[in-house]
Amino acid sequence: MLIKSIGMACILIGATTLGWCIDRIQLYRIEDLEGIRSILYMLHSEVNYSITPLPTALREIIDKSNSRVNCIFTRLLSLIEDKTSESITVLWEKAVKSELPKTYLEEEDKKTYYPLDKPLDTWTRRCRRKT
Amino acid sequence: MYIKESITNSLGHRLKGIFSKVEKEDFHKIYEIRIRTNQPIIIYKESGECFIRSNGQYTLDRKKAVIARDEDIKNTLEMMSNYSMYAFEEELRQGYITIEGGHRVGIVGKVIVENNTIKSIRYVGAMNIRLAHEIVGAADKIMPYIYKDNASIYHTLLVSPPKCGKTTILRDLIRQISEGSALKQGQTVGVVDERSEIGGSYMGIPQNDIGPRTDLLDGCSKVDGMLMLLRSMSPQVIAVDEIGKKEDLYAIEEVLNAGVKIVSTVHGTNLDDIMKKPVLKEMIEKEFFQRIICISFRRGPGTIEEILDGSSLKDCKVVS
Repeated sequence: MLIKSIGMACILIGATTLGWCIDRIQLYRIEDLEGIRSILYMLHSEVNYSITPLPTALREIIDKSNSRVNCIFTRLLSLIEDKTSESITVLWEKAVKSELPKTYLEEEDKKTYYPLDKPLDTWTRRCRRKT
Repeated sequence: MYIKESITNSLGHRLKGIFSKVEKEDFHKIYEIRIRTNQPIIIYKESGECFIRSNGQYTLDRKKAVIARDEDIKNTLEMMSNYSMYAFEEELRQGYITIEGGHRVGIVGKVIVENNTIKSIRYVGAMNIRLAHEIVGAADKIMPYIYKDNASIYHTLLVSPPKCGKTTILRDLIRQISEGSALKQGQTVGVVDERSEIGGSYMGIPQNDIGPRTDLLDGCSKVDGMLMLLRSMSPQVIAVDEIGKKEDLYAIEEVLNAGVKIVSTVHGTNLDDIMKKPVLKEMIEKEFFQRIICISFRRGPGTIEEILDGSSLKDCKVVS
């Protein structure tokens, strides 16, 4: 009886912990998705309204945001500053690949924000229409 | 920053690989790099033009030359603008952008026109990278002729055809006037750098040494800039590049009336040549300039042909 009770307790505690952990992970994932969305919104504003060059815009946004996904943009900025002459798509892919494990984002989330040069191109065209 | 570093950092991935193999010293001899889609890349040097091979060696054989691809130009533009072409809309409208190091990149392609004004350039088909060479001491030969006394200079006009080094001499002239020396007092110089060629400003910061007492207005029209400087910065000398429009006459008159000295450049081969231009003829007849210095390429860039007195229009002294 005692063994059965201990077994039940273990199953209950284990299942609860596992559920709690999955819940946390999903919550953090949502937080990260919201973080990345808010950073992209800020980037959009910097590009569209202030016409701030991308490296400066990234630097300002990294300072403003305290999201976990900041690491992706910090990595992107350092890659831009390395002057490797690779396209922004390649640099974005590299930044995401190296920093994604540090966040709670999943592989499928990558597709949502791939590639960065497309939104940049769209913003540029909108910007051109305004000026 | 070295010329090689600033140029290679501004090129697309493939071109960077090629130009990285060129010797650092060779970049000091290059004036222009012309990149045209589906055409060989041409390099203009002191000794003439040549092509570049994929191993970074120069060649005169067109068949061995590197052919520029569409993506080379696209990637190069991306690098030049720091992945921010949208931030260079205004410069693109003028047909050029200035990159880090003060090098000017002329751009041609499909021009977007709206309401009879140029909006931008899309589908860039070719670019001309004009390497800015800062030569400290380029104006040494003319310095004794432009100082009136230890505290002031003459109104000076530099006359030269394109690519003969007039902007390089003007830049050094500004630096030397601004710095002064043991005998000559340094003066406050206001510079209107309409095309970012004098200071080679990148993001508002002059990349070239233009002296400690120099205030630079970057990307501003000459007329507006000269008047702005007069009102706000109280300069002793105002320097501008490439005058010649009717509006310039009015602005220079304002500068002279304010008791400020003017140093300027103009396209032309000699005095007779510039006298054919009505605006300049009027300026010279009204004796706006006290020193007219003609520059040529006869013995390489920056050859001083003659230094004329503005009122007698006779040689101050011929530098042989």
